[in-house]
Amino acid sequence: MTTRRKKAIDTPKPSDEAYRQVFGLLELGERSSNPDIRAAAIEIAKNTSTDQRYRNLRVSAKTIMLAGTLVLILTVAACWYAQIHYAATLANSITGVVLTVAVLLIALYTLLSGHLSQENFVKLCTAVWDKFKGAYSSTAAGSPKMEGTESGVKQIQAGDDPKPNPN
Amino acid sequence: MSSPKFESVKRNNPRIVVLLDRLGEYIRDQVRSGRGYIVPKLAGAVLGLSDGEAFVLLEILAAGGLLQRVYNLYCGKTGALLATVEDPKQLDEIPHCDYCDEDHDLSGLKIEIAFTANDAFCNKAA
Repeated sequence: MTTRRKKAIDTPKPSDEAYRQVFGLLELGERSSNPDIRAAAIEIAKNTSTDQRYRNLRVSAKTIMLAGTLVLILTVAACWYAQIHYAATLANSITGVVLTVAVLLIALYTLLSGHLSQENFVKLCTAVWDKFKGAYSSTAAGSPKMEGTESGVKQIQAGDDPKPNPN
Repeated sequence: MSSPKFESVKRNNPRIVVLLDRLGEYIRDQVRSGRGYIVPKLAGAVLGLSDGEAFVLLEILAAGGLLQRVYNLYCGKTGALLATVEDPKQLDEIPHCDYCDEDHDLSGLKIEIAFTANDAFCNKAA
């Protein structure tokens, strides 16, 4: 079954061949001595490339719309639930995580629908990962709430200084 | 005298008006002769242009709503026309070849890019 599936993936499709022919003709058009034909060929190549991307979508636009709407509804519900049932600090943390996951999911859907490039998706994932790594390392180092505040600095200094010898 | 759409395309591409006029005349001749498909290679040969240049000019007319790009799918063995589709994805649903009585794979097929004249062009030609 795996071999059959691999064969199906490897075998070029007639639609790919059609696009190959179109791009071949456009390449010839780009070599024209007429500057207007050259410019038009480049413009058509851009449009054809976008068209090919949209036509090769793995998920239909309708499914993407439904999934995106569902994610938004679930996000709002989760944030509302967290704010009502938990203390403000915990609720804000939950809201942050939920919003981040929602943004990532919507980014994934837009990637699958061809509206977001892979490069930008990776940038977004890296930014989210860095944010989480930063938050985790600051939590592991100590109380993040105390850092940067006057009382926090005093607490750290007090912790570092050895206790004065009463003798 | 030509259709308003054709005039609009010419206005948008003032520096290739001569080429568009010649191509328009060629398309009208083809339609009058009952040939439904305008093939870039043949159009290029008649107008003294390369395949690519003819394709780009035909695409300009297609963008102006005068032509429609289509894909003709031929049996590689017999040369019989199996299907004509507008969406390239439809080419992947290859029809059974009645002439050979088999389902061809891509190597047994020939794909040709062509254009058909829309009503705007056909009315003018009539």
